[in-house]
Amino acid sequence: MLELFGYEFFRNAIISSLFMSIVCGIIGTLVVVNRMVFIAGGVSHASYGGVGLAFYYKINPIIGTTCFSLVVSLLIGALTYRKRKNLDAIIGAIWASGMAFGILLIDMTPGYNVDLMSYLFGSILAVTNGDLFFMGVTSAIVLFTICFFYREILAISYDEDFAITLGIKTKLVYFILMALIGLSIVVLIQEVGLILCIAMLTIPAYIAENFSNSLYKMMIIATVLCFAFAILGLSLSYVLNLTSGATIILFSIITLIASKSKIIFQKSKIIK
Amino acid sequence: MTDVNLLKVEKLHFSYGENKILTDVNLSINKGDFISVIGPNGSGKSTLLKLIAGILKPDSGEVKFSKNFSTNASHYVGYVPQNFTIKEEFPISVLDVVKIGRIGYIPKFQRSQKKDLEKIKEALELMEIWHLKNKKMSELSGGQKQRVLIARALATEAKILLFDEPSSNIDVDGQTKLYRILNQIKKELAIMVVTHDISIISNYITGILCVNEKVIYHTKNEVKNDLAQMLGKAKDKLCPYDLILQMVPYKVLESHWGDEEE
Repeated sequence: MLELFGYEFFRNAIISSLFMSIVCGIIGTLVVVNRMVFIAGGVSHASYGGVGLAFYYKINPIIGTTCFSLVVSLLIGALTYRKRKNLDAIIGAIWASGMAFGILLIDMTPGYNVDLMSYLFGSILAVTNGDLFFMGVTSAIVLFTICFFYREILAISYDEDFAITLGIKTKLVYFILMALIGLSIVVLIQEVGLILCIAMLTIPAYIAENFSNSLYKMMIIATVLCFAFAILGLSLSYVLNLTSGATIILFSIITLIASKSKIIFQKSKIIK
Repeated sequence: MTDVNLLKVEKLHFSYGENKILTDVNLSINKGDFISVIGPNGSGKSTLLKLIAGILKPDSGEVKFSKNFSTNASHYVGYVPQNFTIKEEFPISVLDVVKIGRIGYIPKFQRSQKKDLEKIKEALELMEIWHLKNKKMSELSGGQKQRVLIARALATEAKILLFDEPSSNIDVDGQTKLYRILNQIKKELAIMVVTHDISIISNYITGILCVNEKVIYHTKNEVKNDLAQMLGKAKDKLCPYDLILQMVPYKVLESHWGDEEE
């Protein structure tokens, strides 16, 4: 096992997992406590349009995906801010149209047969130094922004109405949060792919909720859990020769079931 | 002291789409006022509080705060929402909830100052929940949560406290205690309380705001002076305030005696 650390691709995978964990721990926590899982799902799937756009216009896929993902997240932000009417239907439509847009553009790209699987399920062992740089910068942006706005985000996440009475610019903070979700999705696509990234955003944070009495503690616990899942999943996928992204998710889900077994197997006391 | 004006609401209109909620609301709130806001379900009581708190924007009209203070409403208004609007499973302790009330007083990247911690402790002690400070909010009962939210509003050092049905999770003894505390602190500020049951609060209030699309404000003096005349009218034309004074169970009537005088 240890000889793996001699390979650059494996070292890159470990470092990228660390960046992914920071992003997942922080943004995942906010997604879970603010009940924005469906919104994050919409952004992640719609961002496939950015992949298609990048290949069609022959630009760097990371730049294409990042720009498209930011646009989609801000669009969803504008459509969902303090609005509840038909919210799920709107997000569902953006979710599907982004993916369809991406697929059509890739179809129209002349003579190019892109490896769809690497975007759908990630390619953690193929992370380049350039990807690492992007992931490092993104993680730093996420970390700094959340530290800067921590009190405001806490107030809005707990009770948005009260936050307004404190004079907090709730709309600005909401859009910043949406932009951070968009950026995080791009990091996660590299690691586990757009199909599975929603699992990494939610599972570690959902488990961490059990053991936290404050938002920042939940973020720290979720980050540690996410890194542990990534390393253990990566090792297991190497030993069993499985797809790394899917193995990491499977490992997370088993831990989730174990941590929530008390709730899952609890006898319902509600009389129907 | 009661002459110090804190708030003026002028020609305020609000609607949800085609549905008119509040029409031509005019109101003046002074220091020392302790006002009970009553009205049937959907009459616009909570909406009125949210408009004053700046949570909702009116279609037209204005909410003006006293010129002696800054134009930022956050320094004036402490808002206590209905308990069910709070996220049940949110990972947060009692102390951290009340600390939210101090945001704006604490500079970026700095810890709470001594004054902030004193204000937080004062608010928690006033609500008699200092011993719960390290508890997770999800572990508290409905009544305890309500008191934490009140402590959070008190910690803001607001000039006007707005309560949206604060008694919904509190037993009769708890309500009496709460209103007694509010009655003590009202000297320094103004208090507005939305409630469906004014039997207990009527011992402490200085006026009643009857809300049913229109808003009509009755002070205690006004009612006392006009009581004899009003009691001569048919019972269904009486204001709820008069009915309370006559020990008649409260209800807001469709036709209001104030309508006739316009």
